[in-house]
Amino acid sequence: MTHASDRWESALLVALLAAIVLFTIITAQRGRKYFIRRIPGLNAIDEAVGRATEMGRPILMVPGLSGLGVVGLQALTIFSYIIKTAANFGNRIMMPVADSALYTVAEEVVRDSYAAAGRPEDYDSNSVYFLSDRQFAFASGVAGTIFREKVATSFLFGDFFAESLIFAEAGQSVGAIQVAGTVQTTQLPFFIASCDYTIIGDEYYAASAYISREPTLLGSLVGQDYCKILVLLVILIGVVGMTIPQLGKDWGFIQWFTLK
Amino acid sequence: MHSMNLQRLLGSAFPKASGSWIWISILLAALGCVVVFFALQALPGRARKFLIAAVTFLAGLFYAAEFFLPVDPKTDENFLTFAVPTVGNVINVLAAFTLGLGVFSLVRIHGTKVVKLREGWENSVVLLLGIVVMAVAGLEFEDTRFYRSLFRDVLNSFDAAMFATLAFFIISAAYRAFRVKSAEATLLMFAALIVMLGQIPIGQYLTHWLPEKGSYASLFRLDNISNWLLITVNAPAIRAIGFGLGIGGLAIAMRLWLSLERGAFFEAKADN
Repeated sequence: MTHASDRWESALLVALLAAIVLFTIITAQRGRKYFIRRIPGLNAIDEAVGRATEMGRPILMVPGLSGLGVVGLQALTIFSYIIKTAANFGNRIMMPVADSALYTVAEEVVRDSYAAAGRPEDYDSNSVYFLSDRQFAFASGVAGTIFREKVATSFLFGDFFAESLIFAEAGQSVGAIQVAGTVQTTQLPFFIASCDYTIIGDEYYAASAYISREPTLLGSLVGQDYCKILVLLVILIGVVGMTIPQLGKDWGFIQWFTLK
Repeated sequence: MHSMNLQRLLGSAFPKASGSWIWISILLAALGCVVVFFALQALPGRARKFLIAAVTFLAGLFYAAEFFLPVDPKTDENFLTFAVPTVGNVINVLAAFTLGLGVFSLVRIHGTKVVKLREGWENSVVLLLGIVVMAVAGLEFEDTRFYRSLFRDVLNSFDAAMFATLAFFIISAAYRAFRVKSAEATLLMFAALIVMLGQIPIGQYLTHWLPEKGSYASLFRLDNISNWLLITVNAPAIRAIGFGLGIGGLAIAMRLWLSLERGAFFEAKADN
């Protein structure tokens, strides 16, 4: 079992990073305005929904193999925004899910999103469906949906593994506009090669703040950036310390961050 | 010591059931779930939101406290560690309930398709039969050839077939990625070419006559350039993305734990 006492330095660093994020959330809630840069992949969401409206074909949203965790819930937050936009244009949506726990929450989120868009009557209970929790059974089900329905737009957000390329290439072959984002760095090259827009790294977690402009989320996003600056400073000090012969690897700062 | 006391206290409050008491306990637990469900439904939106936030906070606090509280060096445990498997079991039970809902979703959608004879209803029949046959095989014939054959010869073969399609998809994706359309694409293509050549024997053979190390000429060996690209250029970029993802994950976990995440969940209902 892993505990903080195994390595107090790491635990303290995690606590410090969490405190920074909480501090910026509180300042944002108290009215401080924060600026966030443009993220092209997220700007493309409206364009992709609009294209589906023009073509009269459905929008596919896939949360990958995500379970009911941070990654899956973030995917649902992004999908919630997409569904609200799609509901306004009367687009048909489809959301196959591989995890049964996430499926139950996804159903609720889709229903709530239609209600929030003022179109509760447009909610179709068949639009969210559980396919399979086996990786390639799920992949074949989603690929089949893409080919049969000739989806106009495909949003791939969540945890993806070897099946990522099957989804992305199936979407390519039916001419769908595709926006993807994953926390699995090994799958990013496949999405970059096959999708029109790819959300890289922590942009995935920035998505909900960027889309909603809600102060709590904006504060959290800026807190993340402060944390990254802190990590960058640690790296720079480490590089300088290792470069200066008088300090080197025996220097206390380097020792503090060295895995033993 | 504290851990033992708490464990003993909980053990005496919930003694291990045996015989018919197991069924009575299950029945009571199911009844309790029904009562909690209807009680939650009867609560006003704001109260329900508060309750959900409180349960989320306590569940998160359990894991945070278990991680941060000092442990006994001899056992590597603190007074909460003994409860970790039990809390894990609670999560497993919840997951089992949701699996039932998932199967219900499949049966509902495909059952409707079969009943209304919609396009492709034959496929839905096969799927529904597949569910029944697999379930029966798993429950009743677990140690038989029938069960093993269904998994090994049928399901695994289907999985392998699907996995094999990746080979073709990789070619079409690579073709698209390496088309020389811009300066970045050209750079990507050359980098990929060098990395690939550096990993295969024929690529290594092309520059095998150069010294492996110890001279400037060694810098031009394809395998050395390939390694440099992977270790000095690629690895730091991946690590940087990893740092960002880790911090992003921490931030969203904090928001969920403290119920600061707005918009997608509970909020619309709570405001009613």
